[in-house]
Amino acid sequence: MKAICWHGKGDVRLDRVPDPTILNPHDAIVSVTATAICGSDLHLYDGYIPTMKEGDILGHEFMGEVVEVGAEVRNLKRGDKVVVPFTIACGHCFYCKDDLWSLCDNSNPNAWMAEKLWGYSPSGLFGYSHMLGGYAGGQAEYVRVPFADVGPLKVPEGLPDEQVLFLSDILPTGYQAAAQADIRDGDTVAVWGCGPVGYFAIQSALLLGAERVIAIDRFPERLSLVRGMEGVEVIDYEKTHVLETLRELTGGRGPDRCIDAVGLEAHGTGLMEVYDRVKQAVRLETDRAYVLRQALMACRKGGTVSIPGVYGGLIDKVPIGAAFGKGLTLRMGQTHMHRWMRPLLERIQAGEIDTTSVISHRLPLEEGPGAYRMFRDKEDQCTKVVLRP
Amino acid sequence: MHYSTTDLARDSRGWEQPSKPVSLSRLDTALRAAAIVGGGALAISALGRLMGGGSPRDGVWAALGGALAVGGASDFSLRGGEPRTRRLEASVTVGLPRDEVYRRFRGEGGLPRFGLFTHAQDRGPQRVPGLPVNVSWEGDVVEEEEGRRLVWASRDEADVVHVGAVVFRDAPERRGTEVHVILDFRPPGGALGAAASKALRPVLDELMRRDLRRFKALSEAGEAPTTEGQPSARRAEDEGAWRAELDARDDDWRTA
Repeated sequence: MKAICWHGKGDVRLDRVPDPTILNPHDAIVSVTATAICGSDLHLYDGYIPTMKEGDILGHEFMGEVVEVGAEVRNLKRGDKVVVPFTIACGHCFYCKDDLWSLCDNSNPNAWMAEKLWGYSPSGLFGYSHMLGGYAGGQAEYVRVPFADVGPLKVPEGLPDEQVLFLSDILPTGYQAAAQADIRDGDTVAVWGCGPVGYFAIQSALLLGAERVIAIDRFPERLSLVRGMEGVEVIDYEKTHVLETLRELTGGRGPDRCIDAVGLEAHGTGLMEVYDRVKQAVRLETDRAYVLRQALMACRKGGTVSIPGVYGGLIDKVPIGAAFGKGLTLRMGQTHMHRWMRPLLERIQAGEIDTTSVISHRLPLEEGPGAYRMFRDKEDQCTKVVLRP
Repeated sequence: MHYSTTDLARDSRGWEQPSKPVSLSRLDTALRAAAIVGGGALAISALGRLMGGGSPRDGVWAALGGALAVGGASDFSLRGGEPRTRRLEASVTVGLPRDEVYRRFRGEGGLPRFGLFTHAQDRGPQRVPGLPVNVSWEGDVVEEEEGRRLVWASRDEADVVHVGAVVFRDAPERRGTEVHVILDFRPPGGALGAAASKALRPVLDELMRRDLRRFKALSEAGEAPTTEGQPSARRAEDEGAWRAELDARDDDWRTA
């Protein structure tokens, strides 16, 4: 089959690889009908996530048709249309039972690697480094889905792929960011990063009762995605002083909830940007925490900073004193996909969430490598790429 | 063997009082770590050059690096005498009732099947998968308290004389059962073997933990996670023969 494979920093290729097979009794094989490139795939593309191996198949946002199931999968059959969560969960361990699916104890075959770095291992992920399982991803014609009796969500007939594809990651991720921010009536929510996750976090924040959302980015195509939405104001961080503007926009209080939808490859301005660039380049810091620092400083006293943006390693110059002094609550982590997929499918069916406006490019799988470059370089007003095998 | 099984049985009951830690100064620890890492890296790179047809000087570097690493890894038992017994410990929590966890661990045949140090009379000598050398033994269950504790010992002719104990304890509320394993072994090969076993310590620890994780996954989820055999744009990786052995054992655990 054809698959998009990682070959090193900035080197992604279309390769011909063997078809996947059933390896475990709870596996299914899915014929991919649509897959997308995630902003977090760019962290792999840019070489910021350790333990990638040359030849790994990429992709963790995908959906398709079940073509084969393992002996223990009884809820799916050949021909079912499914959307697959990017986190892999066994459904039986302490964490799965506790609704903390992305912390599953039993889905990472390389748990020891994650334990070395983080103490304990979260769940395995599709196409996202060997430390997080080393599972072959879904930017391919076929993909093997472990614990297929637990994860995949059957798509009701009549719903086009594009409406439900983002249930595989970015919609639940944006939604969880807003849900974990603990939004209350009258709240102003500041969202850093208006990429797809930020876009869905903004929609979710409004759905969950935010009075107002302030969106922060610098790319016109991203800002224009959200500018027209009712209750949303935008800040271009290259043209404005973010902290001062946020203070003015909130009558001197600061935003009640802050969402960092950027993560480890943040861009900033001025000295701090240079500082992070240098430290990251010489590996004294693995992640650039520009946005996180700003969110901690901007947030009102007693507020919440919610972090859907990915961090992988070490950061410094984090104003922990600001977080402590203002009594902030910090929420973060990979998305507990299985918790949100069904309720969000219902919201899509009810027309409450716009899932398709974010797509800027629809391309065949073969054009994946070029699409990675375009998405990274933000060329051609690229906000989200959907690939069709 | 000289090591008393009752010593270990007593230890395994005394979990509330962990065994006395080895006292090493921080400087000592750092120096040793530096010697192991630096010496090992030196030896490996020099060996690499040697194999690629390097100069005699590479041989000296390799020997020097090796000596440094072994020196750092040893606890100076090179001075001679009986190599001391080494202890490995690992634990995992399995989200099932204690009796069931015990039954799965013990297995249908009534023999413990803890991967790394499994022994079974009906299977003949057992080999440790994942180690660079062939180590085999036969052993017997020497003490058993149903649902709580299992102690086994290698027979005298074993390559590695050892005593192992597994203790099963109820975990708090909803959390299932804690499985604690302690394994005391006497490294073979005198002082050199002792040094090697010390250097191998992280590997042995990881093998124990890996086995416990697999046991947990098979017990809770009905399968151990794997990516063996999945496609990639690489040539078939060298997976090591022990994978097949693990799979054979997994079948036992799955059906237990």
